[in-house]
Amino acid sequence: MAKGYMGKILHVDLTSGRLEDEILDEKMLYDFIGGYGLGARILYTRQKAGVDPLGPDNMLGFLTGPLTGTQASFAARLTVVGKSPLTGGWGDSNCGGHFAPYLKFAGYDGVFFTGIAEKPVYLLIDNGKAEIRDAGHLWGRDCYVTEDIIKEKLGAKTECVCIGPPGENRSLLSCIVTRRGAVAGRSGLGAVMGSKRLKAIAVRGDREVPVVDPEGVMEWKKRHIAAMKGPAPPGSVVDKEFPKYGTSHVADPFAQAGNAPIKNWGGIGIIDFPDSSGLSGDAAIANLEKKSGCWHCIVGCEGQLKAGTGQYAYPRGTRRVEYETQGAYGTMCLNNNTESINMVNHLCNCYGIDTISAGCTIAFAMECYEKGILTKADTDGIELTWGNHEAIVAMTEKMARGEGFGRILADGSKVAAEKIGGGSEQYAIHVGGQEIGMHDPKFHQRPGSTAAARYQMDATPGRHTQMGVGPGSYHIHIYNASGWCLLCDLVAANSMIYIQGFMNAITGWERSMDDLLEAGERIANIRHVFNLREGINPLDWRLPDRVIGRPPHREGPLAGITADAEAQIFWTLGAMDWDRHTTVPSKKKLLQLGLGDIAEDFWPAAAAPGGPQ
Amino acid sequence: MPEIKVQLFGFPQSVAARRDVTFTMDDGATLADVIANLRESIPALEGFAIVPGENRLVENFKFNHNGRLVYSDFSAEVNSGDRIALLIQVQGG
Repeated sequence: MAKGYMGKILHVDLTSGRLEDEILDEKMLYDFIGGYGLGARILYTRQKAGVDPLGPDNMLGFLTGPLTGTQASFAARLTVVGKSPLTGGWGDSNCGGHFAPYLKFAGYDGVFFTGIAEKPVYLLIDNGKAEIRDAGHLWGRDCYVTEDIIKEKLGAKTECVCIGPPGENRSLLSCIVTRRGAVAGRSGLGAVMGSKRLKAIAVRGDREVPVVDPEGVMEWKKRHIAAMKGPAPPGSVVDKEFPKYGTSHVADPFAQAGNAPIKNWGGIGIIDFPDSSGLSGDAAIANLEKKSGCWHCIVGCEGQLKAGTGQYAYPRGTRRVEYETQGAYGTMCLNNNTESINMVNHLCNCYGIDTISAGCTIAFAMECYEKGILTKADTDGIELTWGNHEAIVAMTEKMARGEGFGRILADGSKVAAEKIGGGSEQYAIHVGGQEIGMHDPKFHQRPGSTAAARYQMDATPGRHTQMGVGPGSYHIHIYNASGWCLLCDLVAANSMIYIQGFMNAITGWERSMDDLLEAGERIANIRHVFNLREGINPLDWRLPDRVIGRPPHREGPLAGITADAEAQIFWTLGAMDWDRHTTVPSKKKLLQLGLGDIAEDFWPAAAAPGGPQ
Repeated sequence: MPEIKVQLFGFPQSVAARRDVTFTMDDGATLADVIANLRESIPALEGFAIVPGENRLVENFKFNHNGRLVYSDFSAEVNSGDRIALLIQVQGG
């Protein structure tokens, strides 16, 4: 058995209470590595198409990777997988913190849940021993209190992921939180957890992650640190300010430069939001108490604030914001008020809702309000005017509590538009039901770019974290599957060289770069075919015209630019050998990737090709 | 002789401490000549956005020239009324 793995995953049937270990197959690990690669393989193989995402048959998985919990540089990431209630297709989300390493120290590479508990429960994994425990005293509590109670009972060396009331109420924007602000935010998987009456998972343990060549690992780490300290290579996206600010220093210049979407994707920074100084890095850290980081991270890009003392009394320990939150709650809402964004960041982390989708949904509601589709009578008296930070905070709290108009917005802009009607649908900016990340594809328009295509063609639509789609993003799937942090590229270039080095030193495999990238391609395919089997063709999703610039802006940094989404998609489909109409991968491609069973599903020998039987 | 205005957005604007710059150029001037003028009129851009001693942009910088993003081929002719913006390609998270 390759090292780097604990060698087993835990299956928990919450209906029956049955707990079962599964010894992992090494070939499956080699082919899919871990994270959402392994998760997609398991769900595709063991879960039928068509299950209710909020029903007992949806599998909810929490996965690590072979680098997790080792001395590799950025090895603390957790991936959550399941069928998404937000999009109806493949769902995954990712967070940092300390939980993933401790899941391995507790003896497992992952844990999967099926069924629905009769009453609220949490799972404890204690050094190889798992137990389902009553969570009646936790149900209804927010994520901060939940984690505090669990740690008080089980000890400070316990790590925990949990949901808050939005997850319990199955809000499609609900997410899974650890350490007061490391959040598995996208795909609505908090609602899946809540649908199972699973409040939390607590892990503790002191098992060591086995490693083949510990000295080799440390040698790679030294090289990686040296690269981080060196000059940023030309053409890289290395950001020397990242250790100080995280990603919180780019929102202000992005708002003016055209990278950040403005005013629900309908504005131009220099015209509609000329003063974005409240989103600067220095504004973000003005109330910083201390820096912090994920488990053993050598950068430590996070931060924790002192208590808010002005209009917004967020508590001490509130996380410093990151760019996506500043975008969704700042540039999208024309909100330049730093403290209000700190406050909503606290509310979202405390209750457990995705800041990207929540902020974008409020921006949608603001546009509806400004255009007269909504009135104060609809919005519980809250004036959702552009830039009204008090309204933004108040409505976020209503969404988190599921109260009044907040309940209408709590499932995202697509669902809200369906309920509101009156022409509001045109202002719901999403792809497949999921709001879009804060990176304007028009800004990234260049030959070979897939910045627009990724929002439509990734298995989790609207996601920015895949960076692209097609061959240019295979390495991102390796980051995720390995348990590695995506933000590594902001610290040093050529991350894949280090991942390859770490992985071979840890596992004992001797994987070439081509082999790893082929694994990335394999993972891209299995996430995609999960959707196809659900009857989803991403070509049926629609990239909103505002997002691609149709028509283009007449002024500002992106004047005249339309992202050539159709061309990007066309070339991506060709590069991946997916059918240009059905997006079904060719039989040849599936066989080349070792996905013979999937080839049989989509290209059965005896029947007409192109669809699962 | 065309009058060319270059707008600066984001980090280039911060470094240059101005929003735009205008110069009068020779007929037939190209984007490469625009870069030469930027080097002369805003020295702070040399080394940051402009390759030192050369009339080309540092990788990761680009022009928006009349709705076309230009990264490396600066041979396009510029004319009065052209919309030219200097942008940086960066990544957030």
